[in-house]
Amino acid sequence: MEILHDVSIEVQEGEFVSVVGPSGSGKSTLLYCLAGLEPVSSGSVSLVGTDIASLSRSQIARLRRDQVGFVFQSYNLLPSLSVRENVEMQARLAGRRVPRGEIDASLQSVGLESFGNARPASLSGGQQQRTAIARALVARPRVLFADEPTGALDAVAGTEVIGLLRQTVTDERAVVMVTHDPEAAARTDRVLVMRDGRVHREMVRPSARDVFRAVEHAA
Amino acid sequence: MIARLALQDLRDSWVLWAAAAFVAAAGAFVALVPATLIESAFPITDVTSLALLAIAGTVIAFTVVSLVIVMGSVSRATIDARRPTFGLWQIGGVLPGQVGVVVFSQVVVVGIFGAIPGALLGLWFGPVFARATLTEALGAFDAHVGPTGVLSAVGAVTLLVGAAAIPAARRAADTPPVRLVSGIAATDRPSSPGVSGALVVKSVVAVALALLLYQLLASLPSSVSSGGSQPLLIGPALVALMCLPGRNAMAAVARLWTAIVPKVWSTSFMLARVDVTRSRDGAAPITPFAVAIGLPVTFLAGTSIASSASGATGNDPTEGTMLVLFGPVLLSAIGGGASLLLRSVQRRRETGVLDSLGAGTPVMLLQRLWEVVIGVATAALVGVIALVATVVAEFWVLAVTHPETAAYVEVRPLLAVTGLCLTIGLAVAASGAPGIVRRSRR
Repeated sequence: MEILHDVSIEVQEGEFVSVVGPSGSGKSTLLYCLAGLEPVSSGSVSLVGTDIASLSRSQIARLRRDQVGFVFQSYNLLPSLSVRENVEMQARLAGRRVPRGEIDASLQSVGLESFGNARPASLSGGQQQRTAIARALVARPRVLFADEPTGALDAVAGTEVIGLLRQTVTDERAVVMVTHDPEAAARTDRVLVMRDGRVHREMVRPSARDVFRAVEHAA
Repeated sequence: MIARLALQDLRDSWVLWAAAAFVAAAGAFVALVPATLIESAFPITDVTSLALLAIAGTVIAFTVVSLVIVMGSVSRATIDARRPTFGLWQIGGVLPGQVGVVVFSQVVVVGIFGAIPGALLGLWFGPVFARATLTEALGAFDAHVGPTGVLSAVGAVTLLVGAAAIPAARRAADTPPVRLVSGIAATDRPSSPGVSGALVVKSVVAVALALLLYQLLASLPSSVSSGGSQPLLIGPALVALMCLPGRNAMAAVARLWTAIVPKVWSTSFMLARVDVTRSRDGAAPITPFAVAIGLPVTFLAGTSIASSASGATGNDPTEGTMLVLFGPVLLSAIGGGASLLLRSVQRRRETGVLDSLGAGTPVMLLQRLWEVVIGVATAALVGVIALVATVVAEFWVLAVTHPETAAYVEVRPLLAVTGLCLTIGLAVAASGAPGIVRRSRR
């Protein structure tokens, strides 16, 4: 079954791009294709300058591990590991020894410096999501993909998380986020509105109201 | 309606129930050994008949205790893994009592379907095993077992499996649906009434076992002279006492010895260590493995020390140990394997997270391998501690009254049973390998 059609997008370093659209419009599928988690049946995906269609599965996994960070709605933290160990894990799996100071700095940047030894189950949803962001940052990704990062959070925690994602955008790093929240999308540089597997509309720095209307129109 | 729900659910969650079915199959398989002894004893009219019945009684006692312990543990782990489903049922209108009934019925069905193939295998194995272990001591006899033995074994195992699952079925009925609605994973938080009740029971059993051990040791010198059974029971009672605290204590032992491995040495080892020592069910396989290893080595040591004290040297107690403890050892080892299987089914989500972080197939496969190694090595360590404690205690007590007493420490049985547990653990880990490879290829 074909889910995405005629989609052509480019995300530059230093950009914070959001993808919005009604349920079933293909937002998450687009994100997974861009991240190399889902293979494309036709067309091409270039990730950090590498055409992933030319790579083997293990090469894609390695590219993902070394260059890509993920933040999911369900946090995806390992429950047995402490916050500090979770933050360290992706970099460690990539074969990089992370100095303790770097982990501390990363925890401090997300406001969790006093929770390093806590286990995920003892944290609130917002704190768990901030841990996931710290983990993604320590892995030093060139692209950070976020799938509904505020979907399970209340308004205050959600605003904090979007603020943190905004801060992670640097001259060498881009963030691509799927969201259903117009307020969150309005805080990004560019908004792609999906409809029936196509990019229905593209907006630059729109207001939350504009995003809401565009999604409503796409539904 | 409830029956349909039970059967439909059983079909959907058969992977989780497979562990319980394996234990039931192993239970019926080993139950055919005493069934063979009993059936073989009836046509005989001399003292051999009494000997066979006496041995059968001892084998049954050890087998029943180990089956109830292992099945109780596996049922509890299975029910814990399924609590979110039970919460959903209750939200959908199924009464708490009905949840308990459904779970109990499922355990009985799984028990029957597991026991039948196990008993059919035992139909061949029972007579072969009885002849191999008893012909030298009792002379040639017609070892046989028929449909009566098979039916009795299936019936007894089903009954025991059902009885062992009653506490687990009650726990299932206790799942508060509000926990599920509020997003709290019930499996992460044990319910407080169950915990306090279990603590009281464990404390009472621990005191009873300690008193029994004291009594057995105190009467050991006179028992050696009169040929009593104290030397046989000291080791198993000590193993039971050491394993009583359960997975939390085993996790602490694993945490202690694995701390000698530097954290930076291997990511897969670190992940395995964390899983065994910190996750709720990570250390669950250690207890049955420790029973499997500790029982025969302490039993052999106790028997040998008592033999040396009484001057009855030259008797090899290995065959007698094999006959009496084959069933409990196999059951416990399979119980450990079943706990590993349950654990691997429960943590599919964690495997997905590791995959998304770029762990790769080798890291995830190595993690499973290290988990088995850590679990079995910890169980072996507990077995060694029990062995040393048994030898020291018995030697210390007997050396005063029986100067000819010799300390007995035989490493080969320890290595053999540890090897059996490792093989079962690795087989379970290998059974999960295709799933990990498939996932990473997606």
